[in-house]
Amino acid sequence: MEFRTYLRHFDYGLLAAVGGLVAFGMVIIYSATHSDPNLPSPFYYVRAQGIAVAMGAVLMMVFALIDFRGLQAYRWHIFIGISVLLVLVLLPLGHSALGGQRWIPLGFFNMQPSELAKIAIILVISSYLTDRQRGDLETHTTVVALAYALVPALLVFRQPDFGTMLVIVAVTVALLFIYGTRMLHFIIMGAAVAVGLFLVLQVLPVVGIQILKHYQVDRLLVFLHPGQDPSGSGYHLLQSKIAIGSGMLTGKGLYQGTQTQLNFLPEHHTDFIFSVLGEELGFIGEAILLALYTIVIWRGLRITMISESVFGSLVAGGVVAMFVFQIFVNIGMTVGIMPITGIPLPFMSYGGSSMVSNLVAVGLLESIHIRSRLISDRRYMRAQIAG
Amino acid sequence: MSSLFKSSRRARRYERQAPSIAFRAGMLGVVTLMLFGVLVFRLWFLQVISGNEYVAMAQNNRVRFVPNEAPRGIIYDRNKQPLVENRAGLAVTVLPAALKNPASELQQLSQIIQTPVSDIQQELDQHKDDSYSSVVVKKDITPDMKSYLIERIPLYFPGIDIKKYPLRSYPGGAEASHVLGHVGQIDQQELKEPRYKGYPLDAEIGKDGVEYQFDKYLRGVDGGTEVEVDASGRPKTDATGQPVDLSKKDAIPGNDVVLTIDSNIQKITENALNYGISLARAKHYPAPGGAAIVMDPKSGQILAMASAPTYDPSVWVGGMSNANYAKLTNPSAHDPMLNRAIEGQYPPGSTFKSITAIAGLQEKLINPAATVNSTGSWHVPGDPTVIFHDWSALGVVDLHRAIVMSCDTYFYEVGYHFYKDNNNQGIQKWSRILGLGSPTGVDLPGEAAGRVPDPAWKRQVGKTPIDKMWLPGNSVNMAIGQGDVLVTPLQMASVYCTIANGGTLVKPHVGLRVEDAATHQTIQDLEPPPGGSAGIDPHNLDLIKSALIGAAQPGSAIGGVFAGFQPTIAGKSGTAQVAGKSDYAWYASYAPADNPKYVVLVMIEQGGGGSTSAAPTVRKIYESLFPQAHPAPAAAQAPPPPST
Repeated sequence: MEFRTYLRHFDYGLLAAVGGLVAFGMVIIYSATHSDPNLPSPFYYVRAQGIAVAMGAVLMMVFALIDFRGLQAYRWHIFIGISVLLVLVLLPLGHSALGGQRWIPLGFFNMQPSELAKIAIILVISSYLTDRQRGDLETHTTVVALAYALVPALLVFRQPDFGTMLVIVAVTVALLFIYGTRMLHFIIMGAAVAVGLFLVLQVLPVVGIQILKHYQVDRLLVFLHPGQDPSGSGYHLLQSKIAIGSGMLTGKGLYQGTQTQLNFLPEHHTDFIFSVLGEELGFIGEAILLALYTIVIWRGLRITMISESVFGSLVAGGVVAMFVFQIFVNIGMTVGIMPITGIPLPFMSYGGSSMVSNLVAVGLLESIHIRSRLISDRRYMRAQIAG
Repeated sequence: MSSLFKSSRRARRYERQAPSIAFRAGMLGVVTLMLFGVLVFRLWFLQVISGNEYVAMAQNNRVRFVPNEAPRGIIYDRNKQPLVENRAGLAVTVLPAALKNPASELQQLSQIIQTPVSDIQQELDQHKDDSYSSVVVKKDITPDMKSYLIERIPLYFPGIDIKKYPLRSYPGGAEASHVLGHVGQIDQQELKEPRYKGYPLDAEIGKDGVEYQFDKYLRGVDGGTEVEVDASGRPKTDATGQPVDLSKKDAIPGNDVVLTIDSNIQKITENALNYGISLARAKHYPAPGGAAIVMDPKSGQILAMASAPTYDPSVWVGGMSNANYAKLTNPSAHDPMLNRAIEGQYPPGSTFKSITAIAGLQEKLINPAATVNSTGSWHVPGDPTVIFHDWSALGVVDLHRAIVMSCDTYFYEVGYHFYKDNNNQGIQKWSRILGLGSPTGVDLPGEAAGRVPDPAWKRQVGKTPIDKMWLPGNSVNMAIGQGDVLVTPLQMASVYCTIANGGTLVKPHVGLRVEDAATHQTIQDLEPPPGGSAGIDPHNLDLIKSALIGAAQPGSAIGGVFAGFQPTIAGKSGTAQVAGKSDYAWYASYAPADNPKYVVLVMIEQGGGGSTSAAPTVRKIYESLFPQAHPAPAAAQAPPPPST
């Protein structure tokens, strides 16, 4: 097949929206970090993010051009590969940042396997569910799909990276939903989560077993009782709300956010980058961002619907669910309607692994889009010839 | 082929996935829209509906007001010698909102500045409504503490800062400490008083003495600077490293106050008082304290006011430590913070006889030529059960001799005359005219009123029916300054001012004028208007004055304390008896007797007789006031007879 044909079948709307988000993110990262006197250059973070974007763009093109359907056969390779990486990160060579062991130093790049795990689990579970699609919607399928998810979820949690674990769980649930799992199973899963949370938060600590780290419990409690201690765990949330709230309708202007520039806002180029946007560009800037996300989600869902294969639909749906969940939890966290869990904002937050993973996910969407278009082209041609 | 595709693009139909998957993907879309809707609603609420609140909070975050305390005015003596000045101190401040981990940071700070955490917390608690303002938690830290803190503030103590702070300094040490008073931080109670309306929460105010009395002049107007700070509390700097001031208001120093006090006379008086006390103690009297006053009898200006024991007002600078406070309030310290000259109330003893004499002459109950025979004791005619003792059997005495020799019997008779005269309240009347029984109105806080007993007072305080009655003995005792009469040393000094100046009432005062700190122009005259006449017949006053001259001469009740002293001194001793205590020694005087320039009064608590300790103290003062005018006090060394 000619390269030009591939290019013609690219979803340029999706590409444009993602490009807009990435560019937007770079501007905000620059605003959030350029005045840090400890940096060798004001462009330090922007340059690093740019490298990640370049790498991600190449990988996105690779994934867009290869036939995604080939990945279906590599379920076990992917599963074992990501599991090994997640185990490796727990070993002493894993880098520790802010109390979590998350990175594998690759020399030129600190890889965060948990970000890759999000894509990997989408592919693995989609592959499994596609294999099972001719069977009934039986309990067996749901249990095995959950078992697939459980391994990376537990390994990620062990790091500890509570946020990514939640993403894996959410994506798994979304995949099961799109696949058509029976409602009863969701009800049972929901009940199991509720019981599990009750055990983890209330029962086990009493008998001396602490599964969540103290700061994780604190964050959850602060979410439930905001304003309890403004300088401790609630400090981040309060400063984020002040940043966003004080941005008002039109914002204080790029590079003019006092909460950001004077460091009142913590983690302002990573987890709380949305607060920077909210402070400096206001409600209007946020609306533009949400509009770009809406385009991405819309294109993603459209690809889910037009995919010529169940595997394609599941992968596309999984990617969309991953984006939606991360967007909602991240923004929700900055405005105090979700607990602080450390989930990055897709395409915006500073972080190479996350950027590469998200661009790879976009590559998968494009690949699905291209195959669907090619198939429908061919079907159309056959119809023309037959007709 | 490509052209075929191109032309047919619009006609292309997509084969869709199984409708169920498409349907569920659509549901995912609906869920997404709902979630985004929640976010938009929340953002609208934060930014548009409550945006102004958050703007204010962001402003509070970044703008810090660094107050610049105005130095208080300087307090000068009448010759412009500074009595209270300012020096630059260093204060540690804490910004509660900027503390990351208050408990551990305050704990460490407490060790560095050697102040209990509870004290720091107490300061912070007083300002907890306003966590964006720095609170001064320790004033006057040592240079060592400063350098130690300065190094560590950026890393370990965001929100803790050191700033310059004007502190009071006392060039004369404890000199005139009771008059000057001290400053301290305003407390919650004071903040509610109308006097301090509009004062900032951590205002430094005068707590006592002149500092309190003239606070409104001495206080300046605080200035301050608004600076932009980052999250760790560091001021944002411009390219040259200078903090970016958002606004700046210079502090306006307080005005200077010039007092009537003469620093030299004050020192003389304090030394003399200590000398008198040691004299009394050498004679085995307890003499825990005393007061001495030097006044100008014409103007009522207080040239010196001493109270012993005293204290060093610098213990208040930078905050009184609990240890120092315990030391000052220990009973064995005998109330060093009490200004005995205006807050102490004592029976006046025989110094009161001048008042009884004036009352008797004015009410025409005394004929100056009439005599009484002093046999050493006296009783109310017809009631020999209660004996009134005299200090000596002086024989036949008239008014002049009665004052010179301090004859009790004569004044018992006078007191009894008042009682007999239909319970005449003349002594009370003249006591009050001369200023007893109510504060003199001196421009110092805490003045006591003293007490002039009368039948109404007895009715009020008496417990038994007999106690409630005014008895002959009450008039008799009052006539010699005993019984229930109580005066402050300043009241008695004022009485002798009136006698000395020929009958004009005086308003004792320490404030002379207020001067602008920069230009030294007088902006307020603090002297009260001259008092009116007491209404004493000049002839009567002359009788008293001539008797007071005699009472200071050798051969009087005090013996030769002032023998040969030039210029001539007029005065009256007093030995007041207090149940269960040694006698209280008084001496009230003025000199030169013919044209009085000074009134000098000394009172020594439990200092024995007036001639034992009080009169020698007065002489000591006059020796310095009239350095060339007196011969060697050889006669003063002669042992005086026991006296009243």
